Amino acid sequence: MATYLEVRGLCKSYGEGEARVQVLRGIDVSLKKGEVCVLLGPSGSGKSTFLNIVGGLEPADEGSIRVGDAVITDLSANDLVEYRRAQLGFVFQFYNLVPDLTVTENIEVCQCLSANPLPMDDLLHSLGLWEHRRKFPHEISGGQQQRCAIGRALVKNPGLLLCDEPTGALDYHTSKEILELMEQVNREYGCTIVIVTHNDAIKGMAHRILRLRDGQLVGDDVNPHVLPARELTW
Amino acid sequence: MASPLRKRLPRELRNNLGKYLGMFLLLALAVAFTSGFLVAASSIQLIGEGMRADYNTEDGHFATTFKADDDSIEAVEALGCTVVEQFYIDAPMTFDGATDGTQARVFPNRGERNQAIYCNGRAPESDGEIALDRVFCQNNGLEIGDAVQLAGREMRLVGIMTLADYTCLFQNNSSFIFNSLSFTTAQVTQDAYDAVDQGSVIYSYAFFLNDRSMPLTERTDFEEDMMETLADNGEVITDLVDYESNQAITYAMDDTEGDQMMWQILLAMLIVIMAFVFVVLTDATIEAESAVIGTLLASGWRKRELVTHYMTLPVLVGVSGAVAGNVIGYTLLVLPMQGLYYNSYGFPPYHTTFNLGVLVSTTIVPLVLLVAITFIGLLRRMRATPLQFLRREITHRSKRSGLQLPERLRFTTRFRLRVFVRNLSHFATLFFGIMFGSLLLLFGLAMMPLMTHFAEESAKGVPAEHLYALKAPVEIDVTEDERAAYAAAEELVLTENLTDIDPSHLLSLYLQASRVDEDENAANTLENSPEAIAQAEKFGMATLQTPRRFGDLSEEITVYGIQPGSRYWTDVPVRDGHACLGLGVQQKCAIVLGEPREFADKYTGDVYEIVFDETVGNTTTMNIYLTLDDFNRLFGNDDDYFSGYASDMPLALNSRYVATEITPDQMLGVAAQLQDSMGTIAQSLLYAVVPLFLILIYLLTKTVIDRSARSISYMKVFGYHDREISRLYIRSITVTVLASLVLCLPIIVGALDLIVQVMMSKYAGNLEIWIAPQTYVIEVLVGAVTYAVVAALHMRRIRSVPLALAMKVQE
Repeated sequence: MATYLEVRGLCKSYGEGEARVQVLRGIDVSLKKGEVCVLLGPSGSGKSTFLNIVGGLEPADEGSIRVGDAVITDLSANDLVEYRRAQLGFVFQFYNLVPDLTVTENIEVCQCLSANPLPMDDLLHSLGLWEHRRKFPHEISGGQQQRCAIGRALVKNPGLLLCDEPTGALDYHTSKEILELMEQVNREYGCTIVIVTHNDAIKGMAHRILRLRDGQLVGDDVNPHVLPARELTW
Repeated sequence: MASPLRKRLPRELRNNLGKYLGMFLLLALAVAFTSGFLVAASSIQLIGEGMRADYNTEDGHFATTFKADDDSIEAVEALGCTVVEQFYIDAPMTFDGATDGTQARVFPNRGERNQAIYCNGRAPESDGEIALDRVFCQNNGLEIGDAVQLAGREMRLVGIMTLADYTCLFQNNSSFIFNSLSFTTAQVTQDAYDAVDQGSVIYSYAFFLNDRSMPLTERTDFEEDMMETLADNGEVITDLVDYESNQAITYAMDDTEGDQMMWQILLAMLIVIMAFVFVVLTDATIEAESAVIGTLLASGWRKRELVTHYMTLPVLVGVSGAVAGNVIGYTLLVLPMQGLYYNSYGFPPYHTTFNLGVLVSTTIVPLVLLVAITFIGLLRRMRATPLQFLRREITHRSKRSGLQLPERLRFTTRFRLRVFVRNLSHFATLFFGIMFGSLLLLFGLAMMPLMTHFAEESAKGVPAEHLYALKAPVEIDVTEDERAAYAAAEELVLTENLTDIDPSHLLSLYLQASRVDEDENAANTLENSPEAIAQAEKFGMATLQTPRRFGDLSEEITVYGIQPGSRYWTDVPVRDGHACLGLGVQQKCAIVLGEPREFADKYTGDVYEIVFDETVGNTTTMNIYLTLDDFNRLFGNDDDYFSGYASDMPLALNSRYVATEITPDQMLGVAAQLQDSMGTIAQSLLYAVVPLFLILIYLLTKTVIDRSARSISYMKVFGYHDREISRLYIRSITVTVLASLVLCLPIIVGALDLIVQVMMSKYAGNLEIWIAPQTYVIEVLVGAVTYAVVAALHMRRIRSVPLALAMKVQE
């Protein structure tokens, strides 16, 4: 398979002078189309920053990132919007659903951005949200809200799905359901998925396991024995 | 595909009904009240301005002691005008419920000039019929068909009308107050007019210039020529009033125009307040929606798409509010507002005229402001990156929240302090909002007491029990012979047909009159006691103009020439070469002591320069003072010239010489009239500002409490009781609100002072802000009660939020 995400020499720091903190120190990563990648590391290791830069949410200080054919580190602010619109799906720890839109409508929020979106009904069935499609976020559980957030990210049929602690706010069973859903999404839609997590157990379902510590990539392993998500335990 | 966010709009509206309803009501009420009043006032002004052309209102009138000869009238008309007889008789009138001493100014049915404008009924056609002034009828409950007795004759009311030259019922132009309760104009047939006692006919003539656009200075010259012509033709003129000086014609219009200023100031205040509210609401919305905006931006939504989305509801609500405001203003409020004037003044039948200027100022400007402020606010906030939205970093966090507090303070105190410090920017917003709201409320509450105070101060400003302004100098300290000589001369002048006088008496008159010294001032023909003469003091009085500090209008200033060491103007230390300036004039016209200031005579165009040495009086003193000698030198008068008497005792003066008499009671009467004319406007203003104040306080306190809602929910989760939460959290807000209500008062008073000064730039006189102590108390109480109600409502809503929900919604 061809390389879909290529990161070269990525550096990022915050602050100035003595307060300057080097968050990323020359990261090099390549991911193939359709790979599930888990990015592990302790708090402050630079996981979220890496995700944000790949997602075009903040600029890199140095280095380059290529997603598909686009070198996003060269893109203007407007082009970055188009990049996110066309190629990216985001899943956050706290869902960030629009509180006064129903489940379906929350997904429609991103469906309308795509020229070739996934069929809504199929997606709702896949997400297990069909019965809840007319409910508002406050009427469903945290797991269902996260399913909805995943649906919102997927509906555009993005090439790259970036998940920042997607199970961080969920209990064990709900977390496993969400991970199974991601596995299913990857299988059905073939998108590349990057999951940032504290949870070491999630690495079992990934094709690639990246480990960050103090802004440096300290591990980049191919998982020879990918486990189904339902078999993960922690 | 249409934006799915569109579906949020009705839900957002429902979920934030308080906010949007408040915004809607704020706009709708502001637009309704201001457009209702300003449309009514501008329509009335148009009607008033059109009267001169539509109803042929005179350019002026004069009166002669007897009916003027045709030759005299022709000579006057040859100067460039048309003269029309406008004879009248002031006759007693009674009817059921009439005030004692009611008088009707009776005219025979008029023609095309100075037309009678019928509001109800018709012109009298038979001798037993009469038409009366509309406002008088309204004040006395008279209706068509009612019976009145005019000079003892039974008449039936067949018409209710307004005379074009009597929109305001001033019986005499020199009167300080109009009287629409016991004085009316009346029209009857010529025969009915002739049947009224003709002994008291006033031979008044209205004149209509060929060039009706002639400016005042030229008109003044024309009128002087007219007087000379009449005098040359042997006529004795008893009255000459130019259109612009005729209070019966101009007072109502001046009042209408002046009141618009008050409402325009209110409108300006409302626009500033609305702008402030829009800024606060836009910021609050974006802050509350931060995570959603961040997610949408991260998902690929463009900023302009989000700006459009977040603009939609405020704009829709704003447009609805403006439309509703205009509908309410034009349909429900125009007539009550119009009634404020039609209850006092006799304007022709009212019809609303669309006014583009009013629409722009009351509707378009606030709407554009709403759109622009929301748009700029959104654009400014949208400069933040998606990440900043996601991390809720769109508000600048200062280091205040990390402030170290002494541990010796109790926890609750420290907690409250932290709540206060953390919310400092919100509390600052609340402070400014409360300040704006209080300014609005105090403006409405303070106007009436201010008028009363002004009146009382003005009454104090009258230095004597009687101030007689004279048309020409008349000496009261004269011998009996001198008095007899002048009485004889006057009788000769005022007798229409000298052949009616007994020849021997006529001869005696001639002999006595021949002793009149024409080089000296006239002698008073009436006798006064030596005590009265001894305490009376001569003064000179003239009216000049000088530009006001604000605006492009000029203030009319009374220049007094008084005696050094005057017994009446005790606090005015004039001496030759030492001029004193009333404090009110100094403030209103920004005059600097020691620097020359120009004053103009609007009738002659002459300009006088005066240098002032000190200020005197209070802020209502709109006079300047010179010695009588300096006064006469300034105006080029004879050394013995004077134009008034100040006296604590009533003086018997020949009425032909008296222009007007001013007493402290009259000034209180002026005050009552001022309260009547401005008071109704101030009252209506209060009706407008109270609900607006309530809405404003509601919106602001709700915004602050909303921002604290999540923290309050967490406190509940931690196990705090409602009363503990209230003690820890709501009390900080309460203290802030109460402190703001009190602390903003000095700023408000300063602002109101400036506003009143700007407002008074369209009125004559000077008015310094004065607020009754109880007004402050009422203002703070209304604010506190409003807050208490809003806080209670909102706390009830927060208390009703299930704890599970508080836990679940964590973003």
